[in-house]
Amino acid sequence: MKHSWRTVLAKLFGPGREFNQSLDEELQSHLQMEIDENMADGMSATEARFAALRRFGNVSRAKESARDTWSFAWLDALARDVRFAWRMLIKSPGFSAVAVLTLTLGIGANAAIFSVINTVLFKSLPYPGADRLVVLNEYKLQHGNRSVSWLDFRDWGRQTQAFEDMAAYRVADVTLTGAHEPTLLHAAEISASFFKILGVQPLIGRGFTAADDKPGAAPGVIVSYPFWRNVLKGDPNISGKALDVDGISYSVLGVLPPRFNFFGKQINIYLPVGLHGNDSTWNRRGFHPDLLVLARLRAGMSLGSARSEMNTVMNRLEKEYPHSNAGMLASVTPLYEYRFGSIRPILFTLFAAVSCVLLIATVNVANLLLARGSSRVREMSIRVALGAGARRLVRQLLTESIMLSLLGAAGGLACAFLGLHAIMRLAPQSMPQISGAAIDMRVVFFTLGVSLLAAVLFGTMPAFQAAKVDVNAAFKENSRGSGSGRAGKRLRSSLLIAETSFALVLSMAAGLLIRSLINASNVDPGFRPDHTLAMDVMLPPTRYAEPNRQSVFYTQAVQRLAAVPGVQTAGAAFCPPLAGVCASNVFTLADQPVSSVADLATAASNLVVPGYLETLKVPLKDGRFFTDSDNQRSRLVAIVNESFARRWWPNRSAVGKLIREGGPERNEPYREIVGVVADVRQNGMDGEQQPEVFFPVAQFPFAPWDSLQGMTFVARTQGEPGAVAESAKNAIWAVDKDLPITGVRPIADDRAEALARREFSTVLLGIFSGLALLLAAVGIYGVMAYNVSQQRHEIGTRMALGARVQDIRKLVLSQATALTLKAVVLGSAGVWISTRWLSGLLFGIKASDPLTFSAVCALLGLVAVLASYVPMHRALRVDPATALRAE
Amino acid sequence: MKGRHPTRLHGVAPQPDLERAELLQGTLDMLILRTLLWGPAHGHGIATSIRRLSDEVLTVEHGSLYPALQRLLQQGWIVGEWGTSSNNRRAKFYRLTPAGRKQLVTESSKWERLVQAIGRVLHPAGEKP
Repeated sequence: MKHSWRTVLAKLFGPGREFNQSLDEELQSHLQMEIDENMADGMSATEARFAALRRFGNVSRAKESARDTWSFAWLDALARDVRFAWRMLIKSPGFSAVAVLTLTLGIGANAAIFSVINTVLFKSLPYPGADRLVVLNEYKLQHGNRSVSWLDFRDWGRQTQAFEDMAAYRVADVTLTGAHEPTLLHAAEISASFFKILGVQPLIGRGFTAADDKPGAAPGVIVSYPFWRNVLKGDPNISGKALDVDGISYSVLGVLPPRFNFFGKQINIYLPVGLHGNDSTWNRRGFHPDLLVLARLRAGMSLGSARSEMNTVMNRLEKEYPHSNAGMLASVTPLYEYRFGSIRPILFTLFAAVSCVLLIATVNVANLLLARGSSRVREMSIRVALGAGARRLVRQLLTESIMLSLLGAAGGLACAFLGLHAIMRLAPQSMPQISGAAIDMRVVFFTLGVSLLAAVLFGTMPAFQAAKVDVNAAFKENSRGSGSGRAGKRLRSSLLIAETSFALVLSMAAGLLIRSLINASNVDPGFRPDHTLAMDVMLPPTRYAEPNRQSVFYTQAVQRLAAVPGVQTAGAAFCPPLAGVCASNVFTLADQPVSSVADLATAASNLVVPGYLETLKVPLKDGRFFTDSDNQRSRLVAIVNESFARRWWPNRSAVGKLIREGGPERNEPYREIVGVVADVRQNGMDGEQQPEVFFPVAQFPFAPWDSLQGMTFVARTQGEPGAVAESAKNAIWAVDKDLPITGVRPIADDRAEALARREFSTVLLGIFSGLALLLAAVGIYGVMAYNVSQQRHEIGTRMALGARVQDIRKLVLSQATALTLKAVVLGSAGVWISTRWLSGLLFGIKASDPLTFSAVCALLGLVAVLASYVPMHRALRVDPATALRAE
Repeated sequence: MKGRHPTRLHGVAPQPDLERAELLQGTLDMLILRTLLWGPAHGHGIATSIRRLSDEVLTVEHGSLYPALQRLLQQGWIVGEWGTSSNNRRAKFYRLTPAGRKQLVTESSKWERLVQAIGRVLHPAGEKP
């Protein structure tokens, strides 16, 4: 039917009051005319009226039908259904609130975590063809990753086919000098093809070419976008302008686009790594200057074939250069895994946790709907008896369920935003990728879809049941929700058991993580972190080219630092505790020669200024600490930690033994071990403990490491470490005023940071398991309450027959206990399965720890009992007379 | 009442058989339009006309008449205005619009074709009626 737009509008909004009045009048006048006619035919007034009315039929029905043509029938029906659904939801506020809350929590938590996972795992590699990017590194089986040597890198480029392109890179810190204030900059040295491999185009200017990447080339740099905006003031003509870095004048070649973040931290400035091409040390094949290699797999090349090609190449190099490359292998790791390898276990655990919670939430809602549905079968039956079609009933229940889901979804969305915000604030510094997370709408829709499905499925069951039910039976006074039946009860119980076992699994995981966290916190760090200030100082290589100058500076600086009022002792070290930055080295022991290079002792090498170990109060186990008399003119000495000493001299004292750096190809002089100290944790609180060797900086001039550009100064203070921060900095500046000092902090912060990542995942998982337990409790409460209400008759009978309060209590509790036991059994299977995932994250505890398991089961039991308490209370208040008499 | 059983024209909403309802609705609409061809009339007058002209066979139920009138109004085939009836009652008078006139022609010819087609099936040529 074609309507004018006016008619359509009128239909949308329905006829107004005027229309109704007019229609009324019209019908009245029609009726009156009939009466007139009848009277004209000879009937009396009353007869005429009756006859006319009979003829006319139902006036209101006529009016209604006329009015109905002025509306879209389906719209009207929908509006009616929605209004009715809303009224029903309001009428049982407890049920509605719980259902909506359940959905809100389920959807919200899910969306927040999924969004984080999505951002971190999938969005953080925004390079075209990122799955073809790999990172190459060199390693020896016993010594771990060694970084790549320059000459090996050059040979790789010449001897391999598997890679389209290769670029070496490493991070370094440089100082911005010249016209700007001396500022420490995070820099990266890269090959010319680095940006090309990543598919990154400079925003302004150009990238590096092969000509820039050679020793002796005119020095050029590329800067990052934030650096360009903030420090270079966004100068649009920056190309070609000069920038002084470490005293050398570079020309700015280009600016990178914003949001380029390959390295975990923000790199401000990129220099060509090829400028080192003529360095004598770099041209020693055995020298590994902390380089890594980024490469793109050639099209059609698989990771496996790339790996085997690299093996062949490394074998060849090993034969050609046995001194430097013996036992040296190369690893080829996809970039994705390289970046996120360590975060994956955490994220997947969270993923599993969230799925559990979602499942629990859905099951809860389903159960709630089922329970409520059963109690409405009677209502449904009446409506069927009054003529409602099954379709109508289903449609109406559907409306209710969908409304519920939508409300839950709205709440869930809000919850998701808040949750995401909270997570980003909680996340530790070492997970910078999380900062860019945003709610992924796909997750929201997925979760909404699942909840909707559950709601629809279980919400409309009562209608289907009602259509089949025997109407007479439903009306009988002593029938008890016959629509539920045994099958319905079994279904609800199974759902409840399933959700409780999920809660068990989650709680077990949370419990294990909590204990791991406690274990990690209780680990003895090997030093006393209280009342100690730490700060990092970098030396620009241009002014401190001679190693002697470096050690002189450090020694003087420490003396000045120790003299600051409020400072008890001071020292400095190349690698401070917990940071994991210690480099590994091989050592030859004079009294224990080895047959092959692979059997040489390895240990972390740490350079210290005397006073360091005392400042940190590292316990001395044997021998003595370094003193100022251990200098260039005196005997060469070393201190080792307990791990080293126990490994090589298990039943004797290590003091007096001779060791030297390097393997048989090197010829360093031997040092005498003068002391043994307790192990200082180097790789975080929960990392593996390394053997460590300490050298006094004054005795260290030998192999000039580029990377000895900085040391961490420590000072033990009388009062709060922060109070002497300014004076401490001034003490350093008194020796050299142009040095950037960074990371001024109480060293206790390092300890907190070392635990931060573990704390983060533990807290999150704890929240989830708490959520799961809460939802399970709600579910148990719902089902128990329903059971009790169904059993009123039975309880009333029992009480009438003389059952005591304890008996009723036992009845209810036994139901709760049976449920919990079944959940425990099922949950144990789940725990056993999840053991695999969890073990990677645990520290100091096994995934099958019985103590934790018992505690969690007890907790669950307690929750079940508490949740049944209110229903039980209600059961006890049943008046036998009332319960027996009526339904 | 009389001996014959007047046929009631049902025609509105809760009919399970939509098609049948539509056919009858359309028929009623057509009859109303035809009635108005003779000039404007009010609801009662229309019902009376149809009854008389059909020799008491068709009785329009008021529950069908008024919705039908509304439908015709919505389609713009008739317009209504208040007036006074012959015995001084206030009543709403309906009259045909040009569009309504055209619709009537269309509908009647469709009806004629339908009747003839049915007739041919019931009494095929050559057979005795």
